[in-house]
Amino acid sequence: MGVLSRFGAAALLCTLGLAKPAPAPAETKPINEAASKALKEASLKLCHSTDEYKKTLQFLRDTPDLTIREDVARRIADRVSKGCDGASERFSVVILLLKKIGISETKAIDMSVEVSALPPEMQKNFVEVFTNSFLGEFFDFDYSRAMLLAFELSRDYRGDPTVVREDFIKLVRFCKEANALELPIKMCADYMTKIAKSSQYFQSGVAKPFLELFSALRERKDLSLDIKTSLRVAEQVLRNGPLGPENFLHGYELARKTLEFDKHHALDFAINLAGRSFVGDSPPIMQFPNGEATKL
Amino acid sequence: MILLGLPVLICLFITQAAATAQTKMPSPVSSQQKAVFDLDWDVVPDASGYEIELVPAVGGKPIRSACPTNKFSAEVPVGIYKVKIRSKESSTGIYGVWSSPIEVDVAAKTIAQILPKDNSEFLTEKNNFTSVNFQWTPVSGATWYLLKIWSTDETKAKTFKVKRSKVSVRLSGSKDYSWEVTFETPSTISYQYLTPRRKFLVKGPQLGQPMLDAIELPEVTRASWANVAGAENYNFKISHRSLDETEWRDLLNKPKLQENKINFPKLRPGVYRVEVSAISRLRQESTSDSIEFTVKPTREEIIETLRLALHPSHPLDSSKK
Repeated sequence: MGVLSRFGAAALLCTLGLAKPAPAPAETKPINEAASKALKEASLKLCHSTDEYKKTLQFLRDTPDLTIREDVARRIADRVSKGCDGASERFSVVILLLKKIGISETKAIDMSVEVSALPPEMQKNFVEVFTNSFLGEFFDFDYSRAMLLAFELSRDYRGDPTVVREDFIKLVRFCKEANALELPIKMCADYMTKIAKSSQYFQSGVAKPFLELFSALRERKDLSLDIKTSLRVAEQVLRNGPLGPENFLHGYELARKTLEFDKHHALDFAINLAGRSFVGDSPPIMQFPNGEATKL
Repeated sequence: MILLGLPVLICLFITQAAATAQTKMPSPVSSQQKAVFDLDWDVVPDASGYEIELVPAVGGKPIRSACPTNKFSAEVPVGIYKVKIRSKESSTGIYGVWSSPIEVDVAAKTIAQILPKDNSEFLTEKNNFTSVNFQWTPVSGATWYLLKIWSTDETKAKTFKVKRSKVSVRLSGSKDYSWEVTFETPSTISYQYLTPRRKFLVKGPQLGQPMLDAIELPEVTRASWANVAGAENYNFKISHRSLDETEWRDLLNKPKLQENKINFPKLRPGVYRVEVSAISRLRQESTSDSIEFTVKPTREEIIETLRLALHPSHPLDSSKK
């Protein structure tokens, strides 16, 4: 289970009262949906920048683990205040996390300022993906790899950040459970990081299609692949987008029953057909309306 | 009474006497330091013997000695003397008159050890031997030098008789040594050493490398390794760096540890390198074994840090209660 999801609310910040929880779904539809949407979009662009500056400066002054000079603290507060509402809290969480795991203060400040400018969902992704990738209890990646993945699935991710975060948490959980089945977690983690990146091609995320495909690869009598091969094939199929699994399974069936291929050749045939599930450089990306990272 | 001819001093064989005789102020005769004083003179016909007298220039008891021949050699305290001689008539056994005194500066024949320097160390090669170069100041008139080398495990010294004032000697390792050098003059009686024995150490073969046991993560509080044969102590070091840096900083340095294990406070998150090498006074230090590892916090520790730092008055904060 992910760090942020430990408290059930799926977000450590909300759990601790450090961030504003997502607004509850409206019970009744607004009369004028267009007007409401316009108002919402407009409010997203308004920022309490002075508050963010004050909170950041106060945090830097009051946190004993940080040894930052006053003039530097003011410069940092100035940069963080450009990140609009919530930037100070995003900054504080990330710098404490990075300091705690053993990153130098200079580097931690630079990265925290950068992450504080990201939209809240992306910042949550950064924290969630990084902790799950880096900590020994989870994927246990080295620092560089964990950081790379965290940025890939937050700042650089073009799909819906909430979806990929939930996908990632589910995939981490899958590896922890698979570890009990004697699948080395490092190997599982390698596949899961690749599969998680395919999340952007699926409307509701990749976790469910993965689990269904993995289950079919393992349990269907005509397939019955071992765990490692199932992971490899699943990753190869899912990278082709939402039609990949369907093309693969139908192709395999065609190869076995109609074309009378042996199991090995049928697998190659089906993977090839799955690879033709889209045209262009990649499958279409499910657009996230607010997916563009705020730039400093 | 027959007056015999006066003996004429013809040879003073005192190293450095000529130079030191120029000293204007006579130095007191030292009772501590001695030097050999060689003297010969012209033979006096009908003389059955001679008597020589050395009178210290600045106090002290005169030295008077009977000489059956026209030569005198004796070890005397260094210093300036008035020297005179008289002969003894063979028929009567009566001494004649003293010669006119001459002033002689009896200086020590010094020999200074140059190499190896005192308390220096040498390392053996793979065969546990090494060549040690010995060198000392040459002594005027010396015909042979006698180099004596003692080792801690041998009671008798190894002696080398050489003509030059330097020599290379193959010595075995894992031993303490001491050495001195003396010399001989043509008369074979003139020798002395004026400096104390010097010491040096020849370290034996390199000790085997200690093998660190696996570090137990995540809470690293101890390190251990297998004992190394011949090792007296171990040098232990922990270096630290941040995850994003390449420069190591010394965190803990424990030289000459007696045990093959060490406990230390819990390491905070970061990258660490533990190094250990085996040492012994008589052996060369081993190569270091090292392990690098990353200490990562637990999920709970991260949550706790965030909680306390961002919300110290949170109701969950038990430390405030």
